[in-house]
Amino acid sequence: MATYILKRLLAMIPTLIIISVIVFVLIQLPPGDIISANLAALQQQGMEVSTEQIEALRAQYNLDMPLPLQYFHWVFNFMQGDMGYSIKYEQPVNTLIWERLGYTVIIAVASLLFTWTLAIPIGIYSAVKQYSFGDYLFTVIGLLGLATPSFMLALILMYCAYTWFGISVGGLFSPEYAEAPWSLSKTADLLSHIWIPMIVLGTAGTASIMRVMRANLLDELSKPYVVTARAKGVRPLKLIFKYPVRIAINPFISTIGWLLPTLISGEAIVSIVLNLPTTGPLLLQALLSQDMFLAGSFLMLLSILTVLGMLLSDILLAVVDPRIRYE
Amino acid sequence: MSIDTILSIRGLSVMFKTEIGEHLAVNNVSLDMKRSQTTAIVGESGSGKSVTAYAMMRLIQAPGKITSGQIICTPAQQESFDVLQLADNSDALYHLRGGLMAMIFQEPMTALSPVHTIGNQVMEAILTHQSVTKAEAFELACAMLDRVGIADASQRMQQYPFEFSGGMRQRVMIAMALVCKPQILICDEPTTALDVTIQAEILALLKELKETIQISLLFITHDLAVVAQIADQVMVMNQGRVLETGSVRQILNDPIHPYTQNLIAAVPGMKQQDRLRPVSNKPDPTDYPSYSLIPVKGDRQVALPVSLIPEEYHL
Repeated sequence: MATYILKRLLAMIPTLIIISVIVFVLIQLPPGDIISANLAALQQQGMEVSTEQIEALRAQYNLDMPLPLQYFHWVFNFMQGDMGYSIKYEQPVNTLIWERLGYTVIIAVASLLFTWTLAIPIGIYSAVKQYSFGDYLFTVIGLLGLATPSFMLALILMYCAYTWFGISVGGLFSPEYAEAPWSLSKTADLLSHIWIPMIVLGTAGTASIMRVMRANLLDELSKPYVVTARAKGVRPLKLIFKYPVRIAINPFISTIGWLLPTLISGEAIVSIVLNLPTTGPLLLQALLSQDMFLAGSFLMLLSILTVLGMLLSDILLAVVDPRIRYE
Repeated sequence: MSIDTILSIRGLSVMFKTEIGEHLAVNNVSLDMKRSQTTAIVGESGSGKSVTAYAMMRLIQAPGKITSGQIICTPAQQESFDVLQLADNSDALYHLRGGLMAMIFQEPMTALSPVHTIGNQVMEAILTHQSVTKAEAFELACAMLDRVGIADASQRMQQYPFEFSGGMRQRVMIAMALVCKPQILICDEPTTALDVTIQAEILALLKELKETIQISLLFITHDLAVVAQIADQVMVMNQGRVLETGSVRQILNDPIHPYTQNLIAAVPGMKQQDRLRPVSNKPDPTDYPSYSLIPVKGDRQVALPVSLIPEEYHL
């Protein structure tokens, strides 16, 4: 097991190197840079900027170096934990990014838990009681959930929460807690706000996981080992959870890894609608304004999270499935 | 029904609802299993032999349904009862599955759960039916695995099915079936998926076990060579109906029903040069002409109109 994890960790290194090159090329691809974008804005306002000033700015951010050198500079600083300086926000990237990344992970984990605790039992029920009234009902609800755009659901939920309960639900905190240091009441405030993004982001996933769980379990239910267990006299409830559910659930464990990036990029629109302090809107802004250090650091961190998530799900899978462990 | 009959099926019918109509997979089947003997059900795929066996343990699931019949079981030193009268979810039914009757299957590769150890699965059978501690169950499981010819049983208990060969897995299945000392063992084509040498080993093991632990075997197969080796009584099935019953010698040496004759003629021989003959042309399964079983000489029965039964068999 330890050698397996070590091997996987080593295999991550070339993956991350390749990703870093791609990320760097991608953020350099659009013509111009943030200086020229800023310059255009300044000139529109009628301000004169001398060529020397521009060159000084470029030098300050290493933009005058040849590209490969810029790349090594960026990677070297990144590895030391210095992610550069956001020109648009005029702050170090480190101070901008960590809090948002933290909230993103919290929301992602919350909606993942929401999705699983809802979808997997329903999927099991639908498979065991295939073609029953309940199965059809959940299928309809599931398809509705799948078909509803999440920003729409966010707007509806916000409207309902506001008109019926009189609470403002934008953001993750009430205004009085937004800048306050962490305390019990701030955590409680977070919990009272997090349910809307949790439901909104979880709903689409719930529907598809429900359907996949149903299909997986139906496959497993007709396998000979289930008949063997029935012929052994194992009671139905124990039988279903010990054998087919245990195997039908494995594919979901392997999806944890790539669920993380979809939650992070998929929530951008929802985050804008709900005014959440997560990574999605900031990443969008950074890309729009060609704020290369901010955008690059974001993409790089997301990639690292994804690769780590993959490793995590592979390890979990090896723990629950002996067939993988021994290969 | 004489005293040495352990299981007696009377008029069993099993219906499957399909999109093209109702299909009678088992049609008015009657069968007597003699205690401590081997009864073989022979037939092609789709003849209803497995469905009959599944019905004995009440393992038929929707869209299948047992529509009529009786399955009278008379365990040693116990009152007889009708398996089909047991309530769903009753303790008696769960005791019957695994405790009184056990089953081994055609595909040892998939009949064991891939993510549980052998020990876990064998011990589960013990813990389901007997009130013993886990340590005792472990000992019992080891002893049984050892009995069916698995070396280093306590080591092998920790391993998973994919670490076993096909023949070894079938041995595990046999151990798992026998560990609760059932009185009836149903073998649903247990050697079909195995190669010939392993097949011979498994048959020898089953024969030896049958003689030492006095178990009654129901052996389902399409392989007449296997029937010749292991069976005492034979029942030939086709299209869900019983065509002929009798002792193994009677059926194999002296078949009365044309279908049985075809079946035996379809066994390939060493000197055969021609193409094999097909056993029969299959009629539409939803259309079933019915002949009832007629007793003939030598304590055997055949499903033919009296006019077609040769004179010398008439009672």
